[in-house]
Amino acid sequence: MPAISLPLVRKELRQSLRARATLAVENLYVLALVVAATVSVYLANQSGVPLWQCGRDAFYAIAAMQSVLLGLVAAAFAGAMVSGEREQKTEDILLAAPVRVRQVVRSKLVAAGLIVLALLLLSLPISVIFLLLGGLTWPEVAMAYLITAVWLTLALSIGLLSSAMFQRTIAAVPFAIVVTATLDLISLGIAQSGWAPSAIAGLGGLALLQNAASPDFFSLKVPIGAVSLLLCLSLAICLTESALDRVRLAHRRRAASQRIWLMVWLCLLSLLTLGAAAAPDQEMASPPWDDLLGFLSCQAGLIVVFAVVFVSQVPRKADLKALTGGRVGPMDGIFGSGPLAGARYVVLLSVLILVGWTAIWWVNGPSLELPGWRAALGTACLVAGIWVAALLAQFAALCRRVRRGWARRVLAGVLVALFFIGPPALQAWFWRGQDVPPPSSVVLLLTNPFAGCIVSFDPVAPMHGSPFAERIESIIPLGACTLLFLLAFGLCLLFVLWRVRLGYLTPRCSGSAPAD
Amino acid sequence: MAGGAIIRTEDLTVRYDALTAVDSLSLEVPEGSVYGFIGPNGAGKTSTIRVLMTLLEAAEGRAWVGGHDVNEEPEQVRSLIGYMPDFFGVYDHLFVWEYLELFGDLHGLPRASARERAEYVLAVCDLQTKRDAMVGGLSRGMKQRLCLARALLPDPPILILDEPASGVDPTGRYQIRQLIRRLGDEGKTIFVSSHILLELGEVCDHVGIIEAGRLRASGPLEQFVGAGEAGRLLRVRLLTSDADRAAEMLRGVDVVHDATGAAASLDIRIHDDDNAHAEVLAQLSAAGFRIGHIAEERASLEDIYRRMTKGELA
Repeated sequence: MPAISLPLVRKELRQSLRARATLAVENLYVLALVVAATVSVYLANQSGVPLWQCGRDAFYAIAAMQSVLLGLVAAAFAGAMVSGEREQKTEDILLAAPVRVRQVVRSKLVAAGLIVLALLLLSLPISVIFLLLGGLTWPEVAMAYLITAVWLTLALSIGLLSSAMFQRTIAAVPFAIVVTATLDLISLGIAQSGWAPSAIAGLGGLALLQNAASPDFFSLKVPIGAVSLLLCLSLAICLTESALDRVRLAHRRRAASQRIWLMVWLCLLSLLTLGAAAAPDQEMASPPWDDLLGFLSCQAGLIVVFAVVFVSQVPRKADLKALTGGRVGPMDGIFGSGPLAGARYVVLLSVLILVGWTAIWWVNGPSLELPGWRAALGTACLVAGIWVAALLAQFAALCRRVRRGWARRVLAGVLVALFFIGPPALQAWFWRGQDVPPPSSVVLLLTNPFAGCIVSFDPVAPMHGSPFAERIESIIPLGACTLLFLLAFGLCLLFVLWRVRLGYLTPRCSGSAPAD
Repeated sequence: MAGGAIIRTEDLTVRYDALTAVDSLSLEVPEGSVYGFIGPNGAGKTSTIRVLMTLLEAAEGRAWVGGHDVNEEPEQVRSLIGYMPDFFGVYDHLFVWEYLELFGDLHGLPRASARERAEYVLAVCDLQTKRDAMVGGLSRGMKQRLCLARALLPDPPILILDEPASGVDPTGRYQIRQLIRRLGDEGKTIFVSSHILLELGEVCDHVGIIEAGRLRASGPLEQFVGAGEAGRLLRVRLLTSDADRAAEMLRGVDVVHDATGAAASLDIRIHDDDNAHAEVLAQLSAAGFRIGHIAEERASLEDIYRRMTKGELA
C-alpha cells in the first residue's frame, strides 16, 4: 500500500487553495517578498558596497525572511489539517474509508508541503536576479532553497503534531506557530554562541542559513551541515510519527510508538557523531567528546536509554493478544507483531550504529590507527548487547509470577540494568587490591557488551597488562569472545522465551492469569 | 463468519473511563437482512457501530464483519461497509461530483465505473440536479442524502446507517425509508440504528434492542410480534350489539390471545398470522355473528420495544 493517497492530496489541495485565507496569505507573501527585496537592495546600495555584494547580501536577507515567514505559514497550514477534520466532523467518514491512518496523515502533510513549496518557489525569479548580479553561485542558491525546504518540513511536522494534539484549530494553530518561532530563535541563539554540538542549530531555518554561509558547511572533515539537515529531517519524522499515533487506535499506537523512539535515538546518534567528528579539528575551549573512547561512553549511555525505552514498551497481556491475535511467534510483542518484526528492528539498529561508527572511523580512524574490522567488531558487540537487553525485557514481561504490570516493568528494568552493570561491578570486586586483573575478572568483563566494544577497539589498555587477556588476544580477539558470549546468551534466552510464551497465552485449568 | 451472520460480536465491551457504554454485547446480523438496532439515546448504539467501523477500540470482546476481525483487518472491514454516521460533516469547498470522486478513488474504483456509480447514486438519492453544485451550498437534508450517496457509491454489501433520518424533513424520511427497503430487496445487509421506532418498524426484518449498553433482545421481527401480548389487532364492528358474547366465545379459540367487546365493537388480539385471521372470521360466521366492518392493526415495533426495555441509560 502506498505511503500517501493521491486522491487525499488532491482533496486537500482543492480545499486549501479554494479557501479565502490561502489567497490572502499568497498575496501578502508575494507583496512582502517584493518589498523586502527592494528595501534590501536599496539599503545595500546606499552603503556604497559593490553591486555583486549588494546582490549577495540581499539574497541571504530574503532567504532568511522567507525561512521565517514560510516556517510560520507551514506551521499554520499543517496546524489546521487534523483538527479541521475533527471540527468539521469529517474525520469519521474519512477514517471509515479503506485507507490507512498513516496515508491520511502523510497525505495531509504532503498537500500542505506542496502549498508551502509553491510559495517558496515564488521567490525564485527574485533569486535569479540576485544571481545575475554576480555575487552568488548556483550551488549556493540551490543550497539555500534546500535548507529552507528541510526547515519547512520540520515546521510542517510541528504543525501536524499540534493539529493532532488539539481538538480545536483555534488552539492548534497558535501553538504550532509559537513552537516554530521559538525553535527558530533558540537554534539561532545556539548557532551564534558557537557552542560545540552546533548541529542542534540545524533545527532552525535561520541557523541553518547562517551556517550555510560557512565554506565548511558540507565538507567531509566537519560535516556539520549534513548532520544538521539529517537531524532536522529525523526530528520531522519523529513528530510526524507522533502525530500519527495520536490519530491511531490504541493497540496500533503501542505497536507503532517504537518507531518514534528509534528516530529519537537516530537524532541523538547524529549529534554525537557530529560532536566526535568535529572535536579533533575544531578549536574549542572544552570539546565534549575528544576521542573515540569518549564517544563510546556516550553511546553506551544511549544504549542504556534505548534499553529503558524498550522496557517501557513491555506489552500488557491484553495488548499482546490484540497484536498477535493469539498466534504468537518468538519475537512478537515487544518488537511489534510477526516473526520478522523483531529482526527488522535489530537490523535497523545495527545499521544506525554502523553509520555512526563508520563516520567516526572515517574521520578519526587514520589518526587513531583503528582498523576497520575492529570498529566492526565493537559495533557487533553493541548490537548484540541491545538484542539481549530487549530479550530480557520481554522475558520479564511474560513472567507469570509477577502479576502487576508496573512490577513487571520494574523487573525488566532490574534485569537489563544487571546485565549491563553486573559484570563490571563483579569484576571490580574480584580485582580489588591487585595490580593486574585476575583471569576471573577478565572473563567477567568480557560478558559486558560495552567492555567488549572497548577491547575490540584497544585490546590491551582496558585489561591493564593482564597476561591472561594477552594470551586470549593472541588466539582470538577479546571483542570476539564477548560477541560469542552475547550471541550464545541471546539464543538461550530466545529459546526460553519461546517456551514461556507458549505457556503464557495458553489458558490454564487452575490458577489465575497475571493481572494487568 | 458463522451460520450466515455477516456481522457478529462476542462479549463486546466499550468503556469511556468509568462509564461502560456497551456491556458484553453479543449479536449476530444475518446476511441480507435489514437489522434495526434500536434503543434510547445513550444506550450504546453509536459506540457499537463505531467499533464495527474500526473507529473505536473495544475494551473487551471481539467483532467480525464479513468474517474479518475488526481489530486485525480494519482495511478489509471498511472496504465491505458503506457507513453513514449520526453526526457528520462534508467538505464544503468541493463540488458534489468531486466529493463522490474522492470517495470512489479511496475505495479503489476505476474512474469510469466510479463516474457511472456516482450518476446512479445521485439519481437514487435525488441529487442529479446538484451534481455541479458546491457541497457547502446544499441544504441539511441534501447533505444527508449526499452522505448516503457516498455510502452507496462503492456498492458495498453492508450498509451501516446511524440515525439516517435525523434532521431530515418528512419527505426526506419517506425517501430514505423507501431507499432502505429497496436496498434490502437488492440483498444488501443493512444495519440501521435509530430511536425513531415508527420508521424502523416499516423497513426492518430483524431487530436488536439495546438498553444501558446491554442487548435486551435480538432476532427476526416476527419472533417478537408473535410472542407475548403483541400480534395483530382486529377491530370488528358487528351489525348487532352482542359483541361481549362474541368476545367470550372467541377467548376459547387457540389463535386468539385476547378479545374484548362492548356493544357492537369487538377488539380481538390474535397471532401475527393470516391463518389466525381466517380462523377468527370463520368462527364468528359459524356462530352467526354478522360483521359490518373489519380493520386490522399490527403490533408496532414501539409495543415490542416498550415490552422489552425498562427505560435505563448506560
